Amino acid sequence: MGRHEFADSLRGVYVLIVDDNATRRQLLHEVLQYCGALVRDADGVEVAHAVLREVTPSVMVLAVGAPADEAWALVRFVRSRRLEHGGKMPAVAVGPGALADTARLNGVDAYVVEPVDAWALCRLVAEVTDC
Amino acid sequence: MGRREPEFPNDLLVGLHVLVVEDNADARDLFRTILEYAGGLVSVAPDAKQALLLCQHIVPDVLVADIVMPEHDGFWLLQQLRAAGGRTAAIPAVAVTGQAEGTGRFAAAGFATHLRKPVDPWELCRIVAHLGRRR
Repeated sequence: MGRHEFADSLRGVYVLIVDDNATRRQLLHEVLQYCGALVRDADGVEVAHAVLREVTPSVMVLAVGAPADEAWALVRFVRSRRLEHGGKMPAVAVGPGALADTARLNGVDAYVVEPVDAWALCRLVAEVTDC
Repeated sequence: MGRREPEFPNDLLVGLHVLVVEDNADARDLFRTILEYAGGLVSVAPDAKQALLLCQHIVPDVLVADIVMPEHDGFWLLQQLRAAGGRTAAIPAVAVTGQAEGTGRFAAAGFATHLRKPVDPWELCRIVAHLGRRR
């Protein structure tokens, strides 16, 4: 993907960002919006659940740290939903390399190790949403 | 008469992520506006510590750093980034400063180049583009 293609690579993708770290949440928002996504932020799992009651995003981008149990529980909740309610919604996680394997075991489709490359994140989100 | 850049490409910085570190809110907004005009993805930090925090989460393609800032200056910031290792240590950096400094100090600190304020917006964009594409 050339640099010019990133600017519109996520057009038509609705991303739900779940991250309790305001600084990182803002960064992720800027990156994904720049790439053309419609972005909704949630500063925690409770807000994410509230969003998921109202809409079905195209993809969920969640930041994980230690403990990450709430994040995995959120992914499992999404996976338990019926297909028409987003049960197959892809999940991309951002966090330390040490949690990458655990993330995949808990149903995360793609994992980005911090510090993130903005364009690698956009590419992954595009891939999991088949853009 | 002001200088006009009729041939300036508004997509010069498309696909480049620039982190601007500037303690003056007006200047920070000016730099963001210029770099976004040229198509860049721009993140901002009001001081060196906040910039370091940002770089723990994401690695920008180019850093544009003010030199004179309260608490920690641009030299300190670059020293910390270079010591961080990995991709963070290799972020190309441009210094912007309102004070006269010898060129040698910027180069010794690891800045690719420096610009004196008031900055020529088109020159800033061209330098950022050059450094970003070189990565």
